[in-house]
Amino acid sequence: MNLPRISALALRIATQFRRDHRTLAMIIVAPMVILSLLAYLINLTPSSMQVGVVVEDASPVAQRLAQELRALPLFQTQTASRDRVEDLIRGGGLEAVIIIPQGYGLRSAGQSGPDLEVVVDGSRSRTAPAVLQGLARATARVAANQVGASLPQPQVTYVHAGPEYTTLDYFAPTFIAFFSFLFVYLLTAIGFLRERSQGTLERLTASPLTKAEMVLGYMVGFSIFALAQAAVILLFTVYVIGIHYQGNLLIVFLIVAVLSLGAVNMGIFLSTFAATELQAVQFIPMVITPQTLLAGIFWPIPDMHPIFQWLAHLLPLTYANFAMQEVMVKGKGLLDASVQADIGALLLFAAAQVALASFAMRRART
Amino acid sequence: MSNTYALQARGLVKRFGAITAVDNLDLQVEPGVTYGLLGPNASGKTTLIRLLMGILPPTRGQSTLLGRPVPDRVLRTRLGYMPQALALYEDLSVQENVSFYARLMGNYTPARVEEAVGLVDLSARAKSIVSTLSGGFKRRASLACALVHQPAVLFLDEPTVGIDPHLRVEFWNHFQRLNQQGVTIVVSTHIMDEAERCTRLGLLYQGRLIAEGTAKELRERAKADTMEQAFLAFSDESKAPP
Ligand SMILES: Nc1ncnc2c1ncn2[C@@H]1O[C@H](COP(=O)(O)OP(=O)(O)OP(=O)(O)O)[C@@H](O)[C@H]1O
Ligand SMILES: [Mg+2]
Repeated sequence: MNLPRISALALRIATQFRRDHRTLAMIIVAPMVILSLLAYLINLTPSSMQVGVVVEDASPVAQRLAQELRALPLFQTQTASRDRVEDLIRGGGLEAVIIIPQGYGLRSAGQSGPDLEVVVDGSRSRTAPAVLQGLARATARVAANQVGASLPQPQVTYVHAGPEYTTLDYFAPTFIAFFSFLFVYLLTAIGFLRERSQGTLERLTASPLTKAEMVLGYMVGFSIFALAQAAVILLFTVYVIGIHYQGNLLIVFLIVAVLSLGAVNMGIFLSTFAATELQAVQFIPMVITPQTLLAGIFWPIPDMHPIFQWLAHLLPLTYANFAMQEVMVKGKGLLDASVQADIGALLLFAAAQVALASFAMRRART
Repeated sequence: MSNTYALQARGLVKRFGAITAVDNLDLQVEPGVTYGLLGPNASGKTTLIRLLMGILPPTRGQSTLLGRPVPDRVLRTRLGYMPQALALYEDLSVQENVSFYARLMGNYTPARVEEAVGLVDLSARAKSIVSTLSGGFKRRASLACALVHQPAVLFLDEPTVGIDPHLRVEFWNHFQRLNQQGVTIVVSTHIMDEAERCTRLGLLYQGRLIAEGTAKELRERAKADTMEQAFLAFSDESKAPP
């Protein structure tokens, strides 16, 4: 292991990268745009829905329910009649119709009577759940009012995070890790591919540089930018977007650094299977996208089939996600066993990639 | 094997699948000479250079460099290599390219980089990004990268392709000076008047060394007036074995 050689390589990569203003802008600006968009979209208030209400029952309960439905902020209600229900949904701009049938009032009096009927436009994913939720709220109000009580307001105590946390606060930490992973992979894969195609790899091979030194030089060269990127994204999400977080941001850096270690080597490894830069980019939907889906960011891993759970536990982004949640949501530190286990898993992944990368380099050489 | 040779190879074979790029080749090169490898396209010049440097493992056979068996990583700081491809970082300046290789070889000083750039007459363009240079200037930069760390053995794979006659003469004058300093040069070429300037020549044909000697010896043996005719005579001879 020769430090001057490693730093020569790292310095060269950093110089090349520094000169590439467009890529530099991309790795900083793209995550900002995506995170801002995400922040905006996640906090979007749903637009009101046009709901028809058919009241066939004259009982006070039925009237009360109709009243509560009209009062729901999400519902824009209009009175309808049963025989026009399908027409109103097909062409009349209604998303749903709620029918309070004749004899509905009998039910609340403890006798048997017909149940509420709901007709929804099934072409929109939000309609059925939103209508049923609204309906549940309205019936709860009616029921509570009858016994003379207001709706129950349980007192909630938070062990981690707090009521001010939004979905974004859970997504953002992992996204920071994701962007580092993606860009470090992409830049290494393309950088290494160029090294091969322009013939400079042959010169490196003819130099005293060892494979380990090469991997380290690449890692240091790109990690400088991966960390700078992580810093900018982190500051942006914390101070501009204003996400909530706990924990030490230095640990977040450590996690990103360990993750990029794996990404550099994955880039070198996969680049030996690519003949062109386009092919290196084409690995993204194959290698990066499934990781994002399985990492437990959007869907919880315990809900998955055992095979996918097993797969998820082979992927570095999963552990980066765990670690980020532990640190930024739960506020845990380096002394915490689960944080240590996650970082350990990331190191293990990096080690596996180093082995694969040096194996692939040997294969590419002969 | 003896230590008096800068470079010695015995029974070198390199196969790529069905192709035999280097075929049972023996070679000795004395220190401080320029050894020219002459041969048509695909005759195995590049492959032989790679084998001799130890960056490509041979299928069979062995070789030594400066008395040490190849491959030897320690030895690599004393070798210079100018590949057939440019092998430059197009987004870096000439100076940055040369400095990088100097650092890699553990022999970096700003003065040495400046000297190497001056040697190939690129001082005026030292700060230019390589991608903005003309083809010949890029070749010069590539040579500077191979020379900067003052190697003991220099491997040059068609170094003067695309270089104007004026500079080509200067290059060869410089090679001669390096020889005088004890540097051994192995150079492949297609250009016959360059062949005349080599201390010794090896004619490669289909991976085999079909003739060897000084240019004068080879011409006399082939009873030819020019190197070109001599080369054609030798290759005809090896095509039709007696
Ligand atoms: N990596 C490789 N894989 C497969 N075949 C190869 C490889 N390298 C060289 N060859 C083959 O070996 C033979 C010799 O090639 P080489 O590049 O050594 O020729 P050369 O004398 O340098 O030719 P040129 O004058 O065109 O540079 C050719 O037939 C070539 O196709
Ligand atoms: Mg060649």
